[in-house]
Amino acid sequence: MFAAFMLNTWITPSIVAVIASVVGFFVVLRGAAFVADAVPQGAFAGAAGASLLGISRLAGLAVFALAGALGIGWLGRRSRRDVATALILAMMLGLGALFLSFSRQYSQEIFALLFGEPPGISATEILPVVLLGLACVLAIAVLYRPLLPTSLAPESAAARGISLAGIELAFLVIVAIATSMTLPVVGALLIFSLMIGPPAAARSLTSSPLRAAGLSVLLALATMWAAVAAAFQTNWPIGFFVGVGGALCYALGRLAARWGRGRGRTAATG
Amino acid sequence: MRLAGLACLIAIALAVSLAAITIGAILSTALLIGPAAIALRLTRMPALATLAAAGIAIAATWIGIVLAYDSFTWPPSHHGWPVSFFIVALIFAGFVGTQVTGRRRRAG
Repeated sequence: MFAAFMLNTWITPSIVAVIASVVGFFVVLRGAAFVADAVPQGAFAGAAGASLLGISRLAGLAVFALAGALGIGWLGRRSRRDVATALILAMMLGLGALFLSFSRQYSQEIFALLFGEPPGISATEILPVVLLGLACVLAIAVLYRPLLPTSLAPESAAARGISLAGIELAFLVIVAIATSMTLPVVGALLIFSLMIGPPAAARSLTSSPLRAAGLSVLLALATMWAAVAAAFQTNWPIGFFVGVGGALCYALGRLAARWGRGRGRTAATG
Repeated sequence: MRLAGLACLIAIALAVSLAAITIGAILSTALLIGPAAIALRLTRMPALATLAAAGIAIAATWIGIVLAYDSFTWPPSHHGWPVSFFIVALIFAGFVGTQVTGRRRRAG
């Protein structure tokens, strides 16, 4: 499991887990879970189109994720956000159906994109993925100050002169970049369990934002490593284990929070 | 109020599960939301909007089927383009169209 050729299989999922949980923390704070579900599923169509044209899968993913995120931002400003998100998702899935109907020889590759595979990023793609990941973390670090108040109390943030629309657009672009690098590893269908599960669990455990962000990174890493090890042992798709791990994180986090609150209440009364 | 919400959820679940079997998961989302969103842009009267949504959905489906039938002769290969793509594309175009024109009317 720890042989030299497996190194790649451990490094990329670790990077992906860190990025997904840092971005996912703000997805949970902003209540943008549907967007985090729609962008990867739509980006999947981009990968199908890229394999049809014979260009890099990562490029196809990035183009479709960006187009989807910007489309949601553009249409969502004019009408209800969830309606715009659902229709953009349906449109991109429709394009995916079109691309898949043109090429019928990539069923193994398509299955891997839907459900993920640990070495989903080849050795030549590691450098762009690391760069994209660094860009994501850097963007979050730069935007941390305006991003936090616009997520928690948008009205007062707007009153202080922070551009809500600008921050929203920047955030959607970050989600798109994080999506296109996470998708080949975890798969389109279950990517958002990694983005939502650990941060939601961390949020129910602590109310300090920085501590919650750190905790969600740790939970995501633990989920990812357990999923890689389990997928290696059983040869089942890694997406299954990531999905179960993400849901388990959330359930345990809620249970622990309830237990902690109950204990605090008895301590206060007793 | 709570009962009405529950009944609405059950109606949605029935509609989606029936639609997902007959026309697929992609189309069921698009047909459930798209025509209604377009209709609400065109009129604010609830009853009229419901009728308009049904009409838009039927129009999109029929035009989509005709286009898919016709696409058999289109490039790149001799096998038709998927019907769901055409229907989704028509609904999406209608949605974007009503969004853009609606905004212009408000501004002008």
